Amino acid sequence: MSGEEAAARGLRTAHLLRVNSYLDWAMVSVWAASARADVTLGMAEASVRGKGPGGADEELLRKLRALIRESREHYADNDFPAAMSRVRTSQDLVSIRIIKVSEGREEEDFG
Amino acid sequence: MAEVWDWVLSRVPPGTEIFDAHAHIGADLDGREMTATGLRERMQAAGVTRSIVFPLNDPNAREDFSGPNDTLWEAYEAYPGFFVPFFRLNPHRPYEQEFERCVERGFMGLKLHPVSQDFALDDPRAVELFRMAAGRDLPVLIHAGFAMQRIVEPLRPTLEEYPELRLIVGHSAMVEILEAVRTFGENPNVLFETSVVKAKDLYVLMRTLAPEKVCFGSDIPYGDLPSTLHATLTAAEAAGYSEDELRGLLSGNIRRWFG
Repeated sequence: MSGEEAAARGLRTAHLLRVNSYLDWAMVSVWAASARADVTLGMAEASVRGKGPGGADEELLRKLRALIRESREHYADNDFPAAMSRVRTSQDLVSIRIIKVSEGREEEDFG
Repeated sequence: MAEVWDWVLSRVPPGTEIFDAHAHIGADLDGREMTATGLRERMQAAGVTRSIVFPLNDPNAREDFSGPNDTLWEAYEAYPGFFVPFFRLNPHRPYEQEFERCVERGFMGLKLHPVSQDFALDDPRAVELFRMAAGRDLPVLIHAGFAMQRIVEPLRPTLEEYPELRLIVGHSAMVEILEAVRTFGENPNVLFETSVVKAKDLYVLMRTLAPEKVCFGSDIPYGDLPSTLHATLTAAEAAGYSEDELRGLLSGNIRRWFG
């Protein structure tokens, strides 16, 4: 792997780690029924706006936007299981993608 | 979520009758609840044919959980093919009579929750329950997930003293997942159950533990079948599970104990 490729992979991983951490906040907030749950869901939603670095994760980001939006809607409707399900799945998608990127298997479909 | 569910369905090996090793029926102090009919409907919608079920932290548990345990038995009698009934006890309260009543009735396992009932896994009254369960060849499922801070170290002496004890580690020991694998991974009578464990944690579990030691769980009503199946399957695929190993994870591994 060239230095340029390694740097691009590092930047991509860093972006996914950012999204992962905002999803962590959102998940804990929803789980704990925090008064700030809608705010942290909104922060997670903001973290996936726009194109990711290099553009390789656009399909993943599209799925995350839909799931986080649905989670926020269900949370507003007081549907805890549906909101948790979507925010949990969002983070699982991101974390497995990070693992795949680290293994060089990111082209595979893991959900 | 429909897209995620389509992916899940595409990854369940054909013919697999999914077994959920962790679900609740009844009501909880925190307001969550689930009926037998509601659970059965969720199971059927997701292709789950059998579930281990036990009481929540019921506000009407009184001293010995006999009321919630009766609710479980009624659910089992209503849907005997669907449910594998476990009873629940509180180690801080007199439990001998309820233990015997439930074993004689035909309950197939015991659920213990160290957080909800506020006991340590090496509390002498809890250890006595493990001894009684081992003596009756009764599997025990312990909560070893959210809010747990001591799992492996207090559990180790019990598993050394009662190697015949069949133990399901609920939530796969979450915060101590690697230490639990190192300590209990070779024990043939210990299974690790996956409910509401994050996919990255499950990836670590599945990369370090033999596939036949892992079983799927949902933790309904705290978890749900689509997201827990997704987490389990995406982690298993990333960890390189074969189709046969996926079948074991979703069904065969826990069916060795309960059919």
